[in-house]
Amino acid sequence: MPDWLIILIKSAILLLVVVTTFAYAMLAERKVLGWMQLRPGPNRVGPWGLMQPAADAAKLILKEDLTPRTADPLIYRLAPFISLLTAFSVYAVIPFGASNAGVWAIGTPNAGILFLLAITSIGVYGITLGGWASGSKYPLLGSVRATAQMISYELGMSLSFIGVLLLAGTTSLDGIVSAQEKWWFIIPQFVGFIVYIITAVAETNRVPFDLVEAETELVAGFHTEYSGLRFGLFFIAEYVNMLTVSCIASLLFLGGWNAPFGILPMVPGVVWFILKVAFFMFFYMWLRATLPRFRYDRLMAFGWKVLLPLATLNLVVTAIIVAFLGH
Amino acid sequence: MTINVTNADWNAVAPIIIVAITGLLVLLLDLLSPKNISRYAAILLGAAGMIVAGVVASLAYWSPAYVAFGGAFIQSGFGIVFQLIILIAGIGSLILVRPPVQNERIAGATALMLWGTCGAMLMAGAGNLMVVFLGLELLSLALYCLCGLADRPSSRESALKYLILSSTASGFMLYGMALLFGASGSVAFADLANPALASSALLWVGGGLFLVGIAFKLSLVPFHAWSPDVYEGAPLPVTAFMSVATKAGTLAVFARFMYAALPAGTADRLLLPIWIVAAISMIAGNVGMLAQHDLKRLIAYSGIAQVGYILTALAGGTHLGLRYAIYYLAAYTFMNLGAFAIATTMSGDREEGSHLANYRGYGRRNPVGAALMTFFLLAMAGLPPTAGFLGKILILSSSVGAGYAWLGVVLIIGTAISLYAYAKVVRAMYQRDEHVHAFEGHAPAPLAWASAAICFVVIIVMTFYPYTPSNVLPIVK
Amino acid sequence: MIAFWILAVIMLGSAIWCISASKPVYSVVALLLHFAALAAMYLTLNAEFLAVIQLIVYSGAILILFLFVIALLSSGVASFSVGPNRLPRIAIPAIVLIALALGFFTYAMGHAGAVVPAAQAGSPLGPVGTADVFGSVNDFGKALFTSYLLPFEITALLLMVAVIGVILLAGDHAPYVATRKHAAEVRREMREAILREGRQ
Repeated sequence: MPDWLIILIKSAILLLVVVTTFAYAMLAERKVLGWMQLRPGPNRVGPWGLMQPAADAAKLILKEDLTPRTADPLIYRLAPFISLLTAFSVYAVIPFGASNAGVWAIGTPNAGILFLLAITSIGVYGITLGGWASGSKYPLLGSVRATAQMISYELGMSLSFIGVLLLAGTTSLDGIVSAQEKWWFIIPQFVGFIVYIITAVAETNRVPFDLVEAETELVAGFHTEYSGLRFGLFFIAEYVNMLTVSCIASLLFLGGWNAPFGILPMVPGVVWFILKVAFFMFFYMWLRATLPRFRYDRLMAFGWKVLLPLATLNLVVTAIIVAFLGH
Repeated sequence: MTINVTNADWNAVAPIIIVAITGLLVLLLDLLSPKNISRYAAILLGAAGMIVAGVVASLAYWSPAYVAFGGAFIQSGFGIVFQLIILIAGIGSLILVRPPVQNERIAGATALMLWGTCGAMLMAGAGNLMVVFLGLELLSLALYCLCGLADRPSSRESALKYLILSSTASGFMLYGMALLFGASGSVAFADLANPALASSALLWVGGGLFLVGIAFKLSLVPFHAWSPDVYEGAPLPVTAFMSVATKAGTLAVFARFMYAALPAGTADRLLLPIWIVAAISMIAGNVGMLAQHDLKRLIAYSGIAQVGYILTALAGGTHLGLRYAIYYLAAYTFMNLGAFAIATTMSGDREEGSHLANYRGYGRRNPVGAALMTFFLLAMAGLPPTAGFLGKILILSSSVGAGYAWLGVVLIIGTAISLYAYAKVVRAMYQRDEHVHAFEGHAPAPLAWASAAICFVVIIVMTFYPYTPSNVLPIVK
Repeated sequence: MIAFWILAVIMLGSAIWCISASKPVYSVVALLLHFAALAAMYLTLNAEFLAVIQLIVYSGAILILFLFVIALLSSGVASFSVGPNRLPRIAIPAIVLIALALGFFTYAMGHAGAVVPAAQAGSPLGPVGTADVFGSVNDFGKALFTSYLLPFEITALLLMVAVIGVILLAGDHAPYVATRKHAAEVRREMREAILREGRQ
């Protein structure tokens, strides 16, 4: 088969997998939240509510698509697609299993992790433009908050990556995972891991950093005016982004598809990887059920005055150790 | 291409590192001290750092030239002389810092001035276009912020004007550099001197755009309109710094480009527009001076003309011309700093003493100050008992020798025009005027007085012992 | 080559859109498109690291700040219009100038001469995305920390000067101690107010 056909098939499969994961992650979140709050969660559609995602999808598609009169029509329509496009295109470089000439990934460029950063940094445009183009004040406030929050936390996030890069000595995601065969980087890079987890939650605008939506003060934040499928696109993008940061966390800090302590060699690597990603997804839901929302000025102060110095310190210490001891 | 960076490379930039670290020290001291650092502490620490840097730099003056960082930086007599002039400008203007730059901003202002000095020093020693540009931007960025430091609208206007216009000029320069890179395949000055490039059209366009940037930074005439406005709005010490350091750094780059980085035989044709522009500047700058009512604007226009004089010395590309240009630049540095020092002694807490109305009857209020001011102005005009006169004679002789006598003629005409403008200020100082503008609040300014006295002595010494440095031929390899 | 022409058309089109757009936000979107196409262009030129950095720094940091400011300044959907549109009036001179410049550069490139780049012997060219070839992260890093070490360090100083300059210009003018005192007072007042409310 020609290369482009293989890539096309891989992309199609991946798209299906990611969208299905999104659908059931959403359901899982509602179930988990329900159990944590001592209530059943969705249980009407299908056995244990398993058909709920299909019902939600049908509802979103059939809903009326409203465009406010004050909205900027072009940008208003463009914004959800930017969000979705960036959320999905990240998967072009994420490897899901040991590489074997890239069977488990669409592409494994040498600058993989930088490519990830580049794409996710574009993702903020969806939210900013969407909020602005709605031509209404709550979305605007939400999107301005989102922009400030995301570009602030992106710094801490990038810095926490660099510690890992120093230890692995490569920017390719494949290489980073192979470098963790003996020790997962969560052990030498524990501070970096903590910083990453916190910034990842902020980057995806989830509780306790969901100031962007903050329904008690901003109605629904940047997507207040969106309805129907356009809202659905933002919704998909948010969950896919959660999935993305969970993947990155597994790849960078938990050894990707490496089994813990080399146990159970017969289990394929991709299973370990999925388990790790699932753990992080659960962690997200757990956070949502547990923590209250930050106040906005606290959020910014925390990002700039705690996380950034901490990440920098971690980077400096790592750099010194690597410089004197080697990788 | 990889190079090994050795200690010798770092030694070559040691003076710059010292100045940069002094800037950090000043900020750190301000941070650690319970109250804000005092003005004298900041200034003296900054000046001390620059003096140390100057000593370190001059130690290497007689040692053989060293090409550091694979050609990025060149430590040679040429660069060192320019670095010393820039350091003198830095010290001379730093000690003039005082209100209206508020006390909370003293440490920051000192640090920025030190880092701006770093930028100009880098330009003086730059061996490739990248370092030229970065040094220039370092200097400019520091200056944008310094211009806006005074708490008044004109200062902010000055900063904004400088930022926008200077960025545009930097854009031209950068585009020129990109084309030069395209022509030679390298950013190094050394590779530009390749004779195979003489017929390359890219060299001509790139060189032309590069020279536009240079002409802007030197405020030559079609690109001069920014300088009076920016000088007027900026705080006095910043104007003093800008009027010397920017010009010295840019002249160093220009001289290195002209003397060492052009393929043989192209200099005369490629640089002809610069000489024409220099001639226009000498006339226009001096004519513009006639209508000014503020010392800073006056010096801005004077600076436009003075750069023309210095370029006259360079025209023709003789070694002697370069030596005389450096001599004149040094003299210009001291007379500018001296004039600004006197203006500083007249400043109050709220108002700067640069408006020419303040000088009416100054001769009776303060005979010493007026005498010094007269001396500096006469030096700028180029009247006999000063280094300005000697410098102009030297420039005339070299320009005639190099076949650019027409520039010399323009210089004489320009000088004649300028005499009237300078004389106007002198007359104002000594005229009997009953309606003297009573200028309030002369805070004591011992540092400024000391600076003025030193400048006076140096100019006298320079006049009677006209030493022109001989070890200054710029090299690129 | 096909990629080049497609990208070139996108870049030129978005550049024209950027300067002729009626709303500032459209200009930002056009610029975003331009940067994305430029990054792709870098990829076709074997400059992998540059492409990624182009996206991270320009699109992800600088341009988003433009958008931030525009969104805050013109919260509605206001267009630029402060006066008549002067673009049509300069159209003809602009076209003539552009044609002249293009003609000249075509000529100049044609006559650039075969000057061999001075010292380009280094990493080999190879497919984009592999390590240790020209333009890769490794190659870029090596060049940055050896041949271009001095410019790299100067850039660090430059950025620091920019940051400190901004803080100096825009920072809090009031003395620092007083500000903290003020904040403490406000907090105390708030506490007291809460206590009062509680008692009632």
